[in-house]
Amino acid sequence: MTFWIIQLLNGISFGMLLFLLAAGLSLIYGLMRILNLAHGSYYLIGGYVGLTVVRLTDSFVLAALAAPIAVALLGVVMERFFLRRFPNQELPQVLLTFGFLFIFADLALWIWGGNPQTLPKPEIFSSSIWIGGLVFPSYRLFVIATGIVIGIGLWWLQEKTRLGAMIRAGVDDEEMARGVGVNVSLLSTAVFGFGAFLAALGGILGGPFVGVYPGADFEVLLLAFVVTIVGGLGSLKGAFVGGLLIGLLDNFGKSLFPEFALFTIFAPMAIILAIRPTGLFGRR
Amino acid sequence: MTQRNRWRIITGFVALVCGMSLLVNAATGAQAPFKIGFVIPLTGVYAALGEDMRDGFLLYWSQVGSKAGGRAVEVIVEDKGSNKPDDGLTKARKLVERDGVQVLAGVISSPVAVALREYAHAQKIPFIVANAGADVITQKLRSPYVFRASFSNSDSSHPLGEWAYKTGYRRMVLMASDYGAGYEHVGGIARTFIEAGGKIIQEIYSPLGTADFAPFISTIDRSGDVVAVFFAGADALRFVNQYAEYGLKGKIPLIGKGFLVDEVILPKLGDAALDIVTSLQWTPALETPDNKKFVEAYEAKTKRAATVYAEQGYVSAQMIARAMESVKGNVENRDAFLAALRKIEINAPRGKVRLDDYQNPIHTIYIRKVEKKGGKLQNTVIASYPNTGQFWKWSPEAYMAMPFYGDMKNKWVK
Repeated sequence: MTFWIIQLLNGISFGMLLFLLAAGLSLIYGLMRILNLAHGSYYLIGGYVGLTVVRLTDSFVLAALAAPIAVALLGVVMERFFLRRFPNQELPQVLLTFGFLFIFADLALWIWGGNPQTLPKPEIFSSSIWIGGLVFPSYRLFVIATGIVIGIGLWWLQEKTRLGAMIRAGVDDEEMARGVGVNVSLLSTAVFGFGAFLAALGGILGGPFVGVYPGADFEVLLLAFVVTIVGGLGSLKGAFVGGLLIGLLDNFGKSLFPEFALFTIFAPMAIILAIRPTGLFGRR
Repeated sequence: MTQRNRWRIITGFVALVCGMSLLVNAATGAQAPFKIGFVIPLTGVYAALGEDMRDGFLLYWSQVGSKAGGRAVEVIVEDKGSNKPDDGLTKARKLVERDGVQVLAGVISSPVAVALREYAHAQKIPFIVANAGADVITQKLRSPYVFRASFSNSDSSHPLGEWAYKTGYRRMVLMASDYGAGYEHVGGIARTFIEAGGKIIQEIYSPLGTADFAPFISTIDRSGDVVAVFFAGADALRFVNQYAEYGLKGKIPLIGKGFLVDEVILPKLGDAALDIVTSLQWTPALETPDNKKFVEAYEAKTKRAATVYAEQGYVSAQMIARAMESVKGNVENRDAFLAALRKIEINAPRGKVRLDDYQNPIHTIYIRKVEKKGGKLQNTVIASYPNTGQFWKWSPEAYMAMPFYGDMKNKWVK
């Protein structure tokens, strides 16, 4: 029994991290139809900036604030000065974000070096708790809680606020939204920055257990893609459910059938794509 | 005659004169420096390791004034390589065919080393592998031109398996990254452990670059009395942390290959790493005059801690230098130079190093334990196995007749 509880909690905690990583990617695609290949870089840079802040100030909270804000600004710059020049041109957009991916990877290597690092956990979550005969790290419970809070916050933002209504309008029909006076241009920049913010937050939260290292950007990008494809491009609900689903499937798959470890993430994606090409909650 | 034609003739003459002077240089021989090409990745996941390896290599040459056997040495570093074999090959070609290097050295990753091995073999260029540990390089794919300054993946595994049994462990869980090096590293431990009388009760392989080890760690069979692993880099960092977080630390002892807690990883780990026992051919904590001198010189020059990769770079340079000394700088006689390389005996930071008939090092393997000394974690030597080669106590023929570790995955549990 305890084995199942532990696996369930593992799966949920990893799923929450996946949700944070995928949410931004999905939001950006939903509103702007930009497939942002530099999304994994936000995780990487978020993690590294967080690491630097923690080292300088010894404060995890400060790092969790500073890094996402810094990365959000980076996202805003990318959108305003580069992507803005290629509206609705998929190929240039993809190439541009791909270029950014490499530039950020090299910059990160240059600034933070090539050795793998982990973010130190906040002091209060550094211990583990006992569940029956098994041990579970309390930090992961914190990740689960944070993921749920952010999930609810995003749902509220999207469904209950004027800003959310504007975003939804932009996703559904950009021209109409413009027509009724929504400043889609400003909205796009804001959403791009916010997506980057969420990924960097993922870097801060995931840093203590997944780590930050050269190459993490690619890995995270891949995971975020899988979750977004499963959940449906452009859907926050999809990112949440997709993240949970993949987190759980991956975890149970790996612990029950370790020999298929490489398939546990991609097999569900392939099946979903075959049955529902738009993903669980995707509309287009 | 047009202006352009005149220019052509002048540049032609200049080229001719340059060519002649090159020929003259080649004829007088000893004047030209001995050119060594060093290939490392400076981008990608192995970047930091490559940098250490290069700096170790250059440290040696700077200590001896870039000279050996009366002959000056020129090192050309190709440091923009990736970890892709074809990329490494391009760099090696450039070094040999354009820069005219007479020896190749370096290389972090095994696939790159195998690709370069083919090239070096075909071109008859001596090639010193300074890290890449794939067993085949000095076994099945041995070449008279390919030498190793580092290790073969399983050479430091064999002593660890025996040590584990002697320490009193009987039921072992194997864990490794799911790729060639992983099978070789833990396979070596399993073989000598079983031979001594131990039993492998479980094998768990996780993909290279596993983001979350929780699902694997929580399936570890708790009736085991030791967990033996191979993980490196970011995987090692995550694994060691998560092994402790999931309450296994202090319950089942963790042992493994040195890369789990090497000098790149160790400073990033906290007390989670304490008491982990690993085997490798070197540790900075080795208390010998040669090693202390190396560690201090490296740290003074680079302002970074010495790592196993730096030591391997340093040893590669020592090997080349020793062979140059034996042939008194007459490296143009390639056969003599190769013969000298095969017979080298050097006092490396790690201790005495010589080569076996397959040109892989015979050196001391250290069993090390992570301890805290002066507030810092270090790998303290708790046992050593001198004169250990890749074939352990078997003859090369008997050893190579046994199944390769790559084929033994999931077959250790009986």
